[in-house]
Amino acid sequence: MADLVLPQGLSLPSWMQAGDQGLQGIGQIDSVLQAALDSPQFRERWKYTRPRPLLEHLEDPQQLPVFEGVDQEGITLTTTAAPSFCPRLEPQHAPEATAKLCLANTLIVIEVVKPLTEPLRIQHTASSQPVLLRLHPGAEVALEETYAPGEFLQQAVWIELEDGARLSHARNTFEAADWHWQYLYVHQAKHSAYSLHNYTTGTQLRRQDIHLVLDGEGCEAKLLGAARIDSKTTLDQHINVEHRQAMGNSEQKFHHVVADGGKSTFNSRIHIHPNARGSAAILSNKNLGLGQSATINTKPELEIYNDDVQCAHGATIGRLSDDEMFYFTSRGIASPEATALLSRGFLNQCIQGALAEAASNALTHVGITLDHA
Amino acid sequence: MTLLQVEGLKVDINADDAPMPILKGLDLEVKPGEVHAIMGPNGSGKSTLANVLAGRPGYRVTQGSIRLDGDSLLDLAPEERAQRGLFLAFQYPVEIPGVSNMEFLKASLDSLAKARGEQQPAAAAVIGEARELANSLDLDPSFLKRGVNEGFSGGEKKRNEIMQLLLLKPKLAVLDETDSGLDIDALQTVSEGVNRFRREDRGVVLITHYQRLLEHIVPDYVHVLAEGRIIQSGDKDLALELEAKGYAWLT
Ligand SMILES: Nc1ncnc2c1ncn2[C@@H]1O[C@H](COP(=O)(O)OP(=O)(O)O)[C@@H](O)[C@H]1O
Ligand SMILES: [Mg+2]
Repeated sequence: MADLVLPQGLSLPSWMQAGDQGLQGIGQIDSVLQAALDSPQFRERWKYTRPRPLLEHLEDPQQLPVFEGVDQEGITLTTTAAPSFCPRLEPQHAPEATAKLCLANTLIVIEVVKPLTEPLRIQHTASSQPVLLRLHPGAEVALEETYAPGEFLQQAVWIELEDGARLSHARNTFEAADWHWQYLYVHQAKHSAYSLHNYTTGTQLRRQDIHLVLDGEGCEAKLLGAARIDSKTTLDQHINVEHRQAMGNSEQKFHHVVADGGKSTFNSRIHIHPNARGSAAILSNKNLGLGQSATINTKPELEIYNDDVQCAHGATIGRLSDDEMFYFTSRGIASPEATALLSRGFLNQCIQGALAEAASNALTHVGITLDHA
Repeated sequence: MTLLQVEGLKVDINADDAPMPILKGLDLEVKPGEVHAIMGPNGSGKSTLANVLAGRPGYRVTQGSIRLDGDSLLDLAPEERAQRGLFLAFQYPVEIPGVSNMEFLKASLDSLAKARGEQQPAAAAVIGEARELANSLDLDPSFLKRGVNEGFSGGEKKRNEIMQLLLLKPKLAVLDETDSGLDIDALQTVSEGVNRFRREDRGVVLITHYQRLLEHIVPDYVHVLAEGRIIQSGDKDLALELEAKGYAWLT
């Protein structure tokens, strides 16, 4: 990879050095980030997608998304240059995301202090200012994100779940973009619960980074995903689930349909740290290739440093089963519709929750709904 | 006029990359209104016949003809055969999670209507009819929302096949061992469903291993299939004879 450089004159804002999670004593942020960019880990993370366009657009203008559900009691939203808290930052894991935070003049800070009844909705209309969401101990909310089309789009979200907080997160990403980057970092304190329903299509290029850290005892995390990658579109998902403390539970289930000429990369890593005894982690990625030239890279990884854990991971790449096709065609359904129905069924196995109906409609071409059943 | 005419049918399958003959010259003629039972030992080619009639890939017809209402089926895809009025009740219906039974039924009805240049039925009407049929077959109507055959018992899967038969109303029904794995009550329910389907303009090919089904669905003809040929034909009494003596005396 040719040399990658960040925008010049990057400095660490003072709010990022404050608090017990801040980056005090880190020294020159430029050199730290540059070292991370030059590392083998970074190259591995960006093996199938060239990161240069992303870095070149880090300083693009950023918009305030449209919010719903921020008028409830128990939630505050502020746009500020100096946030009230600093999320955990791990420059060595995602230097480009840390750089984005350093560069931002305005950040969106959302704090939730108790269980909310209405969902928090964020509609990204373009590249968004970085979002920092903190759920205080015992707080609960449903977060729904949707996206508008654009050229170079970037949205980065940092989530801090304090003790016992519960976040049910859904996002539907179906709009076209030339180069779309979605970065998501979730840090969980003890007994917190996080779920993500991640529904997406491919586009010219869509890159999703999801970094989940179970950093307290007894955390729960569940990731469910469905994606359709059409001809001439690309989806690159990079997921990292770290169990840093004991008794955590994580589950990942992703189903992808990749059409002729589509390209899908799925890389998910489960990392069980030495402290994380009693952890359970499962990961499954199933891919359905349609046509002759679907490109599917799937790489589930396990890295385990504790013996007292239960882990399972698997990935499959397959085609529609002949038996299923015959069952449907024998009932009069022509092959294209049978293919569409069966692909829809395959994706529906991973579609649930708040945005499910829109997701199911967007991801499948068959216009049959179940409204009356 | 003959509804189904099978003449000199020879069929190979590929076993270990070499063709293996399964049907070796089979003749069968079904007229409207008739029920033909086909009996035979395991492995004699009963399912092969059913699958070849419905156009399942993986078989090679090397000789002979299959006609429905006078038109050859051999070059038609499975969906085209269904659109012309053929229905196969599967010996082993597949489970398809993620597609609900209701979606599946509606898609079938819509496809059949479209191919026949008819208007697609309204969703509410389909749901109403499906519910009624489910009730009459002792299937909990909630099954309509569940995945196709997902988590169904063997008996539920067979009742679902009959439910589809009654909803799709084909001209010719081929039932492949719909009775196997059913207890007495379910056998009665399923038989009652098939009897409701019987009509003077419709035909049934009833493949079974056991005579007991034929006490409930009385056939007009009984054929014995062995080693890829029909070796004996008769009326319902032939089934009783088979029950008493087994197949050995014939082969
Ligand atoms: N897909 C297949 N591959 C190999 N052999 C098969 C296949 N399908 C059927 N056969 C063989 O063909 C013969 C007839 O099978 P089948 O038609 O299923 O018989 P029946 O339904 O009467 O029990 C059997 O010997 C069976 O083993
Ligand atoms: Mg059989």
